[in-house]
Amino acid sequence: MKTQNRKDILGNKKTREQLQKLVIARLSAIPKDLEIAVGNSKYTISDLQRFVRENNEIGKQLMETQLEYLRSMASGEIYKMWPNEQNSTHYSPQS
Amino acid sequence: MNKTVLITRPNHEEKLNFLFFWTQEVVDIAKEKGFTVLDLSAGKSNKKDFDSYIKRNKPSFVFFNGHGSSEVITGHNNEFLISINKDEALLKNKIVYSRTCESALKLGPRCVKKGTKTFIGYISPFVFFYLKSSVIHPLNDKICKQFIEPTNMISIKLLKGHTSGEAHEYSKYLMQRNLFSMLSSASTEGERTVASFLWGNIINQVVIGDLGSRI
Repeated sequence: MKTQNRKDILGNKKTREQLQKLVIARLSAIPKDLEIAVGNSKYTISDLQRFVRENNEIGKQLMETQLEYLRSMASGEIYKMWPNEQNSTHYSPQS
Repeated sequence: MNKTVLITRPNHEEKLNFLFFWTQEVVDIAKEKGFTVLDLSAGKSNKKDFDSYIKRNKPSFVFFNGHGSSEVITGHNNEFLISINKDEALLKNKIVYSRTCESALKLGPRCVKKGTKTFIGYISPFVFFYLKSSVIHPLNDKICKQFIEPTNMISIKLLKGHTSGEAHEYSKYLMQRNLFSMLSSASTEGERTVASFLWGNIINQVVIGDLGSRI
């Protein structure tokens, strides 16, 4: 699925450029007092924005995840994840 | 059952220091539950000590914290602790939780094929956020807590006798709760802007192998 998404979305230059702008803008909204921990290096939000701009492997992964997240939000799929505590067999804080 | 668990938690980087401190909760609960805890913290999470402890004590559960890729799990100073097509035998007959990037993509399935009971990990980078102001007090960081605390529950549930499948599902359930809390109107701006990364952790956390295994 991910590979297919990448082929479809990131392979189309115009769509990819739009997605790059969108993800860079979303990253810009993260408050400056927050640090991200991802990968083996000390990346900053600015680094991630550069990776998206450069369309490198980390940038592509980031764009894929953000795109899937936005699609899930738009389709309402994400709300199906809402935990139903009364019916959950896992909710047992004491055990 | 061997009531021994092995935990690696290097802290040679600022972000790893957050995992280091948050893992203390698991160490404490393991001790409370009567487990022998092989706590390879900081510089002790090196290849020599790791191999020695795991071969001599045969822990039933191994909990990795640190860096990783699809083919390796690393320890102190990013030294390789487990490499694909080389070290799978070290994890044979064990339950593994690898709180590292991408190690469930290739390494996890390979380990299970070679005899690991269950491997829980991530098929993409494991991401968390923290406040710059919390560096000296990592446990007070409320943003970091939203990301890390639910994943601690994988180990804690296992230590309390639950199955690997239950531990995995329960941590996802807690991450989902945190996700919706972060998306609510009561959340902070910081929480709302990074919620999508928690969603990424939820969909990228996988369990491979026997879902019914217990420590």
